[in-house]
Amino acid sequence: MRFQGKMMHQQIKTVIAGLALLVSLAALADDPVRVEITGGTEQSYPIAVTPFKNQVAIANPDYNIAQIIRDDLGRSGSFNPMREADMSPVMVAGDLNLDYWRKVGQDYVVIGEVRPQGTDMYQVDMRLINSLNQQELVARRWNGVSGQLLRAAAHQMSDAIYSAITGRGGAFDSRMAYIRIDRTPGKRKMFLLEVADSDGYAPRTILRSYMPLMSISWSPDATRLAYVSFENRKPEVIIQSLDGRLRQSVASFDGINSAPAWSPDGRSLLMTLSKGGNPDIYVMDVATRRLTQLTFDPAIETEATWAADGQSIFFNSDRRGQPQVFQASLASPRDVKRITFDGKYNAKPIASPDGRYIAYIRQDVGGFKITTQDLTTGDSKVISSTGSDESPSFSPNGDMIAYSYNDYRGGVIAVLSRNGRAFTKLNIAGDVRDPAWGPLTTAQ
Amino acid sequence: MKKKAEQEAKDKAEADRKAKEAKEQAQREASLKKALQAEREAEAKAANTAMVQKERSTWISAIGAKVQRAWTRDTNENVVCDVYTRQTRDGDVKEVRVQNCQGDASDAYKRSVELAVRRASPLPKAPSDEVFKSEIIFIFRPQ
Repeated sequence: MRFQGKMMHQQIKTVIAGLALLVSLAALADDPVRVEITGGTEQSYPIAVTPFKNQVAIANPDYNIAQIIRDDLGRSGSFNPMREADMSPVMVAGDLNLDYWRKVGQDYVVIGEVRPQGTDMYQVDMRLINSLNQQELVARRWNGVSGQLLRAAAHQMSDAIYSAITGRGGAFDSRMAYIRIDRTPGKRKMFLLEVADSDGYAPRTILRSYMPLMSISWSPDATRLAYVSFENRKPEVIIQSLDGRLRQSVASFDGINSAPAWSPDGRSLLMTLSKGGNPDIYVMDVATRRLTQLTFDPAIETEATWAADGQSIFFNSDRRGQPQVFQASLASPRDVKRITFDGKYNAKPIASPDGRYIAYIRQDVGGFKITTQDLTTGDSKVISSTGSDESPSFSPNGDMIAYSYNDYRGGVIAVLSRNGRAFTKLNIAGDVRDPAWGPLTTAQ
Repeated sequence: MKKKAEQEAKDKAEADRKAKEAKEQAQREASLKKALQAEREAEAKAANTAMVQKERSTWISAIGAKVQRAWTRDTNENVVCDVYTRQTRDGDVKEVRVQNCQGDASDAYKRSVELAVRRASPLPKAPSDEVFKSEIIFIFRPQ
């Protein structure tokens, strides 16, 4: 298991409002009877991801394809994958028996097979079948997959399964950037900018610094990162390509240079600058470095993020005394609309890529907590059970939120499903924080 | 002599009248008996129809409850869908067709109503042939 401390909140939310069952008998004897069904239950999809045939051909136990898929789907909060230990070994070993999986309540079954294609090269087949109507939803082959790309292929399988069943985009074949603080005894404290798979696996270091690093933002084409570095003993906004070829400081004005956020079209960066006297939001055209000021209030404005359509921004302002989230359009930034009303402290907003939700940190009875808000209804909901939450970041499909919090040993990165059902600590060793979930690696 | 003949004629008339009355009485009794018989049959038929309807209502309620319990979904979409279903005498669901949905029903939602009926198969068995109906249309309504 790559993930520790997985906690499935199997909150099966029953929405049956009493057994309101209406039976109307047809007047004519040959008409079909009409029966009204009201209510139903909101719950995660039950799915059996059976061990892939010939999995043993792959020596590395970290490349257990079925387990990678189960962990991915479980993290989303929309699936309840059956544990391998609960599967009948006879049924797993034999030919696909949909009747069996139906009887044990698994609406969906995944079967697959691994075939070696020479040294450290594999062909992998995956099929997704509905056990209730026998419909095959996915049947795909991954050809010529090298050993080190097997996990990426497994994440692509998770995305294919996720899309076929929920109708929403996948999110697993993507990466997570974050900051690690290396506190090796006897050595100077070091800050590392790292990029791992979306499940925290296979981290690689992009940058090491003796001074703090923070506030990572991905370019929408996933080739560059913007972040804040204190390497010159003051905050600066840096843009760096993942391949290391490009690295430049784009904002090092007097005072604060912080909270960069890349626009959905990749052309602009939002940032907080205090060069005008107090912290305000600016937008920078990345190509020309031209700055446009977007907020003008004497209060502190910071932590700006883009709305999904790139036409407006959400930001945090204490103009009402305590931090609240406001929205302003780029076309007329002085028309500012307050967005959060529930709770005294709501900060660090992020917008879901589908434009339906924002998430932010609310100071609540249990501490600082991840909170979601439906932009259509305005309803907000605290969804985390931890209490020192920081840096929320939406998955590319908007169904999960990565964030960091502190436990007894330091910073931890976790993934919370937007519906609040699943909470998973990512298995990234050490003191880690500030996750930024990147775009999908390959187009789906 | 004349008096005797008169008496006889009078007796005969009396006898004829009595015979006619008896015949009419018998006819009345026969037709009443027939009517009562018809009424009893009609009552029995009405009682049977009422019983079939009551039993069917109970049976359909049981089917509805089973389908309702079997209806699970991931998202809350407020869309109404009709699902045509054909079953065997034993309750095995043989055909499920999502017929028409109001508004923008996602494929996932349409699948959830189809699977609810399939998951509920076999449906509760009808107590008699008279009660049984092969075709049912379920109207799925989230709230």
